[in-house]
Amino acid sequence: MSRLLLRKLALLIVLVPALHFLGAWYAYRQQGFFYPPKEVSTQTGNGFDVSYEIDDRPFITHYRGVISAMIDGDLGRIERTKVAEYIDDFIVRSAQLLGVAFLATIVLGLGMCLLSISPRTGRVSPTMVTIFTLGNGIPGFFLGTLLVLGLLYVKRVGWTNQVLLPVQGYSTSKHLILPALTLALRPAFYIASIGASLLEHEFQQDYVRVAKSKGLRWRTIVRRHAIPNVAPAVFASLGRGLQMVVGSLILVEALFDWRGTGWMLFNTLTNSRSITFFNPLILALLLAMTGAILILVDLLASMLSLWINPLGRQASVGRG
Amino acid sequence: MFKNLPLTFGLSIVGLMLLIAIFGPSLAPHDPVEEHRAFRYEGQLYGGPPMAALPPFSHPEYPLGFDDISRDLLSRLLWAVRPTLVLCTIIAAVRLLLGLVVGGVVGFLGPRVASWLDTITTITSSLPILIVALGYLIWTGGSAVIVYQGVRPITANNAGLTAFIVALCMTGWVNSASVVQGYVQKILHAPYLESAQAIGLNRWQITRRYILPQVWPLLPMLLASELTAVTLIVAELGYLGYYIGGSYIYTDKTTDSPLPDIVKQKAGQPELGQMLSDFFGQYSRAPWVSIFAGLLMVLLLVGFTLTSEGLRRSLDITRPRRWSWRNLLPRKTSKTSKSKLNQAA
Repeated sequence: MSRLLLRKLALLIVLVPALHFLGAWYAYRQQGFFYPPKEVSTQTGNGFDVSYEIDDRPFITHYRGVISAMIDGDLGRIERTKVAEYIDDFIVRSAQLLGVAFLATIVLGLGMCLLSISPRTGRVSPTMVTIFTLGNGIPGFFLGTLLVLGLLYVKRVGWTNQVLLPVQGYSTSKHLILPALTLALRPAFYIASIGASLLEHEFQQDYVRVAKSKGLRWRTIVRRHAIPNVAPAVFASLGRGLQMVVGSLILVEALFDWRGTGWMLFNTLTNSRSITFFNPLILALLLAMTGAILILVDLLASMLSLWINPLGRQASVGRG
Repeated sequence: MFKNLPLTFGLSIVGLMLLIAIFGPSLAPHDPVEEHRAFRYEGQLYGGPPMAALPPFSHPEYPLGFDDISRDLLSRLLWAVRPTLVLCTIIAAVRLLLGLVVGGVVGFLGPRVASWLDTITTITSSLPILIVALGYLIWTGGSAVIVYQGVRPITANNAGLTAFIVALCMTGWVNSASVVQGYVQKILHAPYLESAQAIGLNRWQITRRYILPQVWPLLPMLLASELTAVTLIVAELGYLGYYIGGSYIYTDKTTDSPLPDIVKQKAGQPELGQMLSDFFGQYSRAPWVSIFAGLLMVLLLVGFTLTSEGLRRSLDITRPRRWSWRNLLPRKTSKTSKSKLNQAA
């Protein structure tokens, strides 16, 4: 157990700084400078003469400066705005969205997985498995688009006085519902399909037949035998599912105009009017944060799966 | 016939899409890039942005209506499947090939090298492929061309096919590599391989006689799942405004009004990912474009998903029958064997 977790922790320690460096380098290479050129106006005889002062120190000098400032707790500035003060609102909004989406993914995924067990046949219902597979194939942004269009259509036809849920924005908690749902649906279907296929495999084991012939109630078989056997693998797949949530953050935040880190990353990469456009400090921070969240989520899922798995606890004694 | 429902449905959907890809362009009733700037129908004037777009199911010759700059949507959809399918197939094949070679070699070299592959898997999972692909496409395409409509930026990138292939293959091969590696390792631990080594077969002979014949059946399943993943990323990139093919500037400039009010960057040749882009630019004028293009994309995705799921089921040895093309046809059950069994009992 400890070896796997230690390796993932080591990866976290190595990868996050590497991603930070990569982000800063990428933005620097794309723009050609680390800080935007400063406008310098000098007074001459007949008015002002404007020139640009380009900072052409090499990248590594800049980067060293950024790192040492970060160690002192200063994230730097974009023009006159402090990065730390600018970015914290975005982080809080993304954290809210991700928290709700994670919760929705786990509840929906595990709930659908349990719902797919059919007590009548003693197996997993094939209809539900097909639904899970279909849900797995539908991209989240399309569902989001359909939801948005549906809400707008309902308003247009006049069934409701106003749009039932706000479609774009980030100010109230109602704005959270659509993006969180869009983020959560596909990963939930993914987790449910993994869980269902594992359960189906489990129900074909000999011990289930023995338990049935012993006269155990179906509910007891599921609760005491099948689920504990399946749970570690399902929890391990939870990591992948939650990674999918984080992976589509950039798309969903851009779609619903939820001003979080995903929105910021999209704007940093594509919107030349935004003040963060290819800013090395911002891009480095955003990439490092995304990587850290992805690895942490995976780490948490594997910790959970090892923690609930009695076999893992025993086997770790031998393997170290 | 209905032994393996997902496979049957998946293959029929994929077959339908293949038919559209092959015959769609010749079936298309109109030119997909022709604009109908002033189109009069039932007393109403339809056309490009200052005028309304022709809605679907209203005109018999244009059953799906116009897109937001008054091009026939049905023809565009029929033309759009081919480039998307070709793009996705090429990328998926490259990813599968890379994964197969790397996974096979790593699996053969044993668990110590396999832990390296595991590390690479964790590293790639720490960077979403969407961000990697976006980063690479922006890198190669120079800075993105950006046109504003209202407050929403419309990004357009004239990315070539090579850029797309590299962008989606950079980290994409890892998944199938780890599947193949696990499979090869499982085969290498089988008892019959010990006997193969005992009779003196060398590595190449073992690969040819034992490993390759067992890996081949895995390939269709892996290809289908790669296709699902690639199509999804292509759809997402298209939605964010990154697609293959060029674009041109649409304006409402005429001889009467030389200064245009509306300037839009629109793609010329249709492609499914591109038709999904610019949702907020066109939802007030022609929301049906996103819906129809999205439905076609979802159909493609569902087809690939169902095929891969069906192939996975047919490979599953806990299920009774192995897959063959005969399973798609109705089969007579032999009653004689049953009665013999009964006699024996």
